Amino acid sequence: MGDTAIPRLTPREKKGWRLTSILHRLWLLAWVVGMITPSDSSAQSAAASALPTLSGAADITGPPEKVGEALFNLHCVVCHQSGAKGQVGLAPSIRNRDFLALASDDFIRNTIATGRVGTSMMARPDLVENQVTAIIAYLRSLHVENPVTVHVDWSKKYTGDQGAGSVKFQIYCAPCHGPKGEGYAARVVGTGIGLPGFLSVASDDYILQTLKHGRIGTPMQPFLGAKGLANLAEQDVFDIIAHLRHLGENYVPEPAGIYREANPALGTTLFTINCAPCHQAGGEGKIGFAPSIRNRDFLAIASDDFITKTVHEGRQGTGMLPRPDLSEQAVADIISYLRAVPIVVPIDIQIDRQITFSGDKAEGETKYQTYCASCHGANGEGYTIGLPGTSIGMAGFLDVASDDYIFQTLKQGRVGTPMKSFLGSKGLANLQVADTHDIIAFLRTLPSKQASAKPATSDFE
Amino acid sequence: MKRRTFLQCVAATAAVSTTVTKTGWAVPDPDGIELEKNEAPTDILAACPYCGVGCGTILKTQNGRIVNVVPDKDHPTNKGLQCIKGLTSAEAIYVNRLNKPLIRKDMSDPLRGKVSKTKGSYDPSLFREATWEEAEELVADKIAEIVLAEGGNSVGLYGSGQLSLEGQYLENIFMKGVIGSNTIEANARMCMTSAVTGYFKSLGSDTPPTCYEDIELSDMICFWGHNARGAHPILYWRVADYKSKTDIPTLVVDPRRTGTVQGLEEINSAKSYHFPTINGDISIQNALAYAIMEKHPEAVAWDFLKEHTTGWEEYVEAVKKGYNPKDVEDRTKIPAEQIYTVAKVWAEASVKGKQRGTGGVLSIWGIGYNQHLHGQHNTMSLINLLALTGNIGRPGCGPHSQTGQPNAMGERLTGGLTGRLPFNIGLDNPQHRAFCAEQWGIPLERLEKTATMSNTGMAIGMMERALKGEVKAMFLIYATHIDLPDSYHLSRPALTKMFTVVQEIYKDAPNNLYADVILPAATWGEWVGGLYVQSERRLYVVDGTANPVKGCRPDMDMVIDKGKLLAHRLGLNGDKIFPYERKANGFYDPEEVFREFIKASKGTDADLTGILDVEKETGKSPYQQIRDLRGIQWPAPTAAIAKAGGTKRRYMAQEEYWPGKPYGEFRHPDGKLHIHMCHQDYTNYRAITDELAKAGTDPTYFVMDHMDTLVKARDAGLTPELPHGDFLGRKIGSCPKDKYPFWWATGVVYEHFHTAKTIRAGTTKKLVPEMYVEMHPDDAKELGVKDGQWVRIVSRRGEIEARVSIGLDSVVKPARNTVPKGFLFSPWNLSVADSADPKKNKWLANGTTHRAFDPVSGQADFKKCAARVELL
Repeated sequence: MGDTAIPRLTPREKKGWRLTSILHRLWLLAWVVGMITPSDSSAQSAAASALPTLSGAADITGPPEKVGEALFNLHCVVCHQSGAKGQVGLAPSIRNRDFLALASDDFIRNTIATGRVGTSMMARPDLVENQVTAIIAYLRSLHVENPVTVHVDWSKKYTGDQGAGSVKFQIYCAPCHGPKGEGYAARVVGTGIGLPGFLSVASDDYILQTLKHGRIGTPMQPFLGAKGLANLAEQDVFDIIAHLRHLGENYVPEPAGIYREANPALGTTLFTINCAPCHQAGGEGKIGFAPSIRNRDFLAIASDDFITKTVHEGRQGTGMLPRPDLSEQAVADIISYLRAVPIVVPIDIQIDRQITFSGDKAEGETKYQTYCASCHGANGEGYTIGLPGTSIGMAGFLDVASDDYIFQTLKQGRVGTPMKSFLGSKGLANLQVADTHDIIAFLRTLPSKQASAKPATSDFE
Repeated sequence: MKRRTFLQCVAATAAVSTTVTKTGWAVPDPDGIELEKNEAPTDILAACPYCGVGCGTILKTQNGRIVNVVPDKDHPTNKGLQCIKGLTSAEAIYVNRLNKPLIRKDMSDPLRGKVSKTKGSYDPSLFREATWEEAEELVADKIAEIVLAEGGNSVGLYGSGQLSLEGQYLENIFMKGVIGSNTIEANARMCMTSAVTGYFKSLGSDTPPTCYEDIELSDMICFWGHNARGAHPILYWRVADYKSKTDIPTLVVDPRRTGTVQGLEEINSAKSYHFPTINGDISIQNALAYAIMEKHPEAVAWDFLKEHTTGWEEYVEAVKKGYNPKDVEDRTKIPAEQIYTVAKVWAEASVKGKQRGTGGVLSIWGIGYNQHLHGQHNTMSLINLLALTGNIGRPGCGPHSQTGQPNAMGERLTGGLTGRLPFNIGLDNPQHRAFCAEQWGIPLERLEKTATMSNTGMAIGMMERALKGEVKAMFLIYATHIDLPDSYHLSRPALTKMFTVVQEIYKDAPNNLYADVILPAATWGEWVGGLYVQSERRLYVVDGTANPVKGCRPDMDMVIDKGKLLAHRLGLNGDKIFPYERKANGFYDPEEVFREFIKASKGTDADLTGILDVEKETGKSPYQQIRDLRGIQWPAPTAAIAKAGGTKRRYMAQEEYWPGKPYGEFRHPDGKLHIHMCHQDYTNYRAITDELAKAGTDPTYFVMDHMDTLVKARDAGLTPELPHGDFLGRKIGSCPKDKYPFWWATGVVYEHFHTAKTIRAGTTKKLVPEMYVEMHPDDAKELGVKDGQWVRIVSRRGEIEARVSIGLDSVVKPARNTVPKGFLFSPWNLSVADSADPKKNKWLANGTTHRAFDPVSGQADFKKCAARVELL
């Protein structure tokens, strides 16, 4: 990437810049999408092939960096990629010589604890202190070529002119970081440096040092001095910092609700950043990992509300984390992308969300164990215990899935997935309608069973 | 990412219980069955024990016992899906198991003309328990005596496509090398040999050229006489999913409106074609060729024909002369305009594929298409049409044969059949004979002598020879005799006369009825393991717990032990031929055998030696390589090919990295695909079937002595019987006793695999518990029978009882298919689901079927017999 990724700009009038900015952004968008839609993320295929058995009972033990590696591979790798090398447009490189030289442990710790509101970097307060310590130990243990030492003064403050900074920011920073520093969400290659999350942990000196040293191996080059990308003086940087602080203070989250027509193009980017790491490019899913959701049969059965609720509330206990940070508008955009999937042989399924069936739980248990448990687990654990079926016994799913949703799924199956129709003589198991009602009645009992089960303790306590 | 830790932590967050329940697919209670140990690994990788699709499955164990199986989401064939049979396969393992060798008190002694009076019963009081040593010594003594007195060819073996590749390989060495017999057959004979011999004749090698991925590349998919929805569900679902996504046209040629036909029509009926023919496949293919040449010349691959085939001129001429669709409707049973419609679709798909460089017409068939008097011609005729339209030698098109047994391809590759050596080469090839004798440690003269022996009529001929007294002893290994036709007049009296040794798992298995010695075998899952080869040439592990029911031994171990013993008795060096020792776990290591197999494959068109090169390079054992890649498709002649998972497709230089591409075009010495015109001519139909009617009804008539009649029937594309259609429409009980007005077909039902395990597995037994006969509503009305009523189906040779099942609303499960008028269908799977005891057994489908067979492939036709319906 290197130089070609950096649009060379010369100072000019703001208005004139806007036109070029649109062109640049279109170009960058194509570049970003091209960069971050690999059909098979190497990290995940490595994960699949590194699966020796499915029992998964072994504890993680060993020196902190080993524990940290395991934790990283569990919690971070999906976005930050194997070895923390990052992926432009998706998640920044953090095994990076310059990042590791600049970022203090506290900086990383705070970032993990609070996340970056407005980006796909979730707050992870669930990671306890010694877990975070282990992850940091892992990052610090990663080999970097020609390490450097940079002193960052975390308390120092610089004084700059926000007005002047605004102009400079638009010229030098906005092409990559977005006009308000929104970062990846604005479909640009730069990170979200105008967002309050970043600004709350990044000291003035941290920003200055970043502009001074750049980030080796990323599109972020040094900007300061004659050798810099733009020959900025320190005062220019102070002005830019002042403007950044201004942006952070005036950050307005996207308004609630849906206030414009859903945009499938925007949805594509949002999907790529937020969903594709698990659900794969094109939403095709990966069996045992994340289900196929850009799928004719799923989309015929799942309503927009179903999807929105699933995104916002997640599926507790599975890899599907709640994403309340994605606005209703953003989810609507994502849904419009999902629904734009080309369908050659359409189907039409009407779901009656009000209807409830009255099956027999006891009968349903036997039938569930006979026909469903091999793929979905005896208690509907699904992927979480290494099975090819989804986690249908968990509250997260059952709270949003109506009886008819489950029935229609059993009737129709999901094209292109292991979930086949189970109903009637053409089904996988010749189930009768009454059988499915029994199974649904049993499924509804599963969340309370799981709630009463003894919680497992964390590996690190 | 470390998947395991991911799962673990997610599971921990969810705080869910992961206990395996005892209900449902969990295996039934032990029933007093004791295992060797109380421990075994869990999450064992295996191929499903049932059909030839070869789904990856994972065995779950507790305390050494298999408690469940789950589909392997990382296996490229099934990607996390399995059908109801595979999913319930663990249910049939610890049920009514034999655990001690048994010796019949009143044994048959063919050398002295003694026939046991107690055969036909497996009552425990008729047997005495024996130690392994005693039973093995007895078998060795008896067999050695017979070999020395009557020659090796008087000993037969009926093997299995359920046995591991390693067991099959050793079995062949045992028979052809040690015993010196060419009388070695297997249930593959009733399954796939028509495809085998068709491939040989057309392509020069028994190499299915395609792979499953071709489904997702094709522009049109045809199922010839193949109800994939029932017999090979995962294959069907892959096709159905692809059709749902892309709307490709499909053709099903099948007399019944099967689940396959209906399922594809549900996706898009406008692009789903169904030819309900009976026996008309060859005429249909020739008529399609005619229509394509007439109306769509752009789809004819003249360049391909000229450069890569022989015999095309005669074929083109004969088709043009004799197969105008309008003139052959009497044989196709399909109106000419429908032939033209499909010809257009076929032509469009062929042109698309040619232009794109991938795709075209993929033609899939299964067992039913092979089970014809002209089964070999069925394969050749289909390849003719594919060659004419250039649908071969390119990804996304070609002929794809789907085996019935999970390791029928292993039986074929190891040459465990009359006249075959391993690696697709005949016993009549002197160089390969010398090579094998060297590899096997057998004196060359011995193999030379075996090569002079004949087994006319193959599996059926072997039983007829036994009736004549020529074959005196028989080994049945992981195979049942009830898959052979005409049970009451052929296999059962033959096994009664012979000294019969069976390796069995169940106490009430039908083989035990005729066994002199019963050896308790370890079955799939609980054995040590080995390899299966599925229909796309994929070798895959069938690892087991190595913890069988106490007292049982794996079949491969039994082959080695009896091989060593008999070699010694016959003056051979058993330790050289079988250089294997038991390991610490008490069993032989199949991987050692596999290494020998790999070495012996060097230089053949099934060369696997790249796997050993990879082992040298990386230290990874052959099985581990196969596990990690979830299978290797033969051939794998170099390390690079082995590392890439073998060879997906064959012919036309599709074996990309094979240096020099020694088998790059086609396998015939001239490198060409050989087109042979296949005909159908019904002129002498009645006369020929009248003669064949003597089989099974006249005890002096042996089909093997009338090969000329079989050749005549084959060349005219006939069936073994021709119903008396004039007598259709009569009320039940009023049809003359010598008339058989209905077409009578036996086949399979989705819920069951063959006749042994799924009828003992609780779930599948419950889903389809009883013998039924599918009948057209008009026939039922004319006969005066109702849906659900029990009737008798009577053929010239026997009868069964079955419940009438009419249409999709029948009260009799599964009610999945409909049949044309004048046509009856029953699943043979339920043959002994009532009881194997002949006094109680009323469902033995092959008691009714005809023993006539294809003169080259040896395969019988179980689907075109004649029958009448009588009151119970």
